Amino acid sequence: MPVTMNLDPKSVGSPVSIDREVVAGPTPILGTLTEVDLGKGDSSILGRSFGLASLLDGRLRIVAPIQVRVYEDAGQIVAEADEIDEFGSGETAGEAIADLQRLIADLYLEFAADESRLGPGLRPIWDILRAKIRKLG
Amino acid sequence: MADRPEVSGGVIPHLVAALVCEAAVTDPITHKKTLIGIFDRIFTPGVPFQRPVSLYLKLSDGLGNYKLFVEFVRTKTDTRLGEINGKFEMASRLESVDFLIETPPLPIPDFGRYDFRVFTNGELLGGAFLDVLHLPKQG
Repeated sequence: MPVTMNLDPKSVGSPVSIDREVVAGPTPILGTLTEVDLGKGDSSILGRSFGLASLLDGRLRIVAPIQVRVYEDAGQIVAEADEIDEFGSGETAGEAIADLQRLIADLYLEFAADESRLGPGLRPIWDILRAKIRKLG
Repeated sequence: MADRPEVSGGVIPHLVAALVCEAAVTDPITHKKTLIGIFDRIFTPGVPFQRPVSLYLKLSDGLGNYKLFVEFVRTKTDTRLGEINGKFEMASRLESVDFLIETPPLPIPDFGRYDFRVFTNGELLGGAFLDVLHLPKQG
């Protein structure tokens, strides 16, 4: 049976007002949990679509989610980003997603380096990548 | 919160840290958090078993209201064994939020890898993993 974990609002800090000098905590906490829902939790990521919001590359940030569908095909798990015509694969969903994350990061960096030489077939994919990913620094 | 419009965070927050630990303490004055016994492997002579953990999450560079969803998954079979649902708000992209989540005993049905996958507004930010390894019996 799936277990539902309860977010304890008391475990989340809130801004504190003080009138004497203290050493401030490392994390200013402005966000608070406002509601806790108890889920049933009985399905997996396989067969689902979701927005991919991170890449396994510290130089790159996703600023608009890339839609990914995870499914099984011929004994392999596939994570497919249809809009940029890329997919990752692996023995598990986690491996397939990580593979796709690496591929997207490599593709972005490759396209960014050769932007002026991209042909008309690759230009639409670069436009999507450029709109959804930012290079830091 | 009641007089503030409910705006979904349009900015994807950055998952700065997702750590699994034995326990965590929050200082009531400074709100500093102390994580005790950070780990990513469990050695056990046998399965199945159950084990509680503390999950620490820190997010930055977000703005607005977010739905938080964390699923605990057996990686090999992609079976969801537990989930966390909640909401939080980020008031400024220059600030960060962090959470300490004390879980109930989590079911560990077999050896192998387990993932905590962290989503905000249905978007996968990243997560943490646990490897459950066989500990040979002594003697």
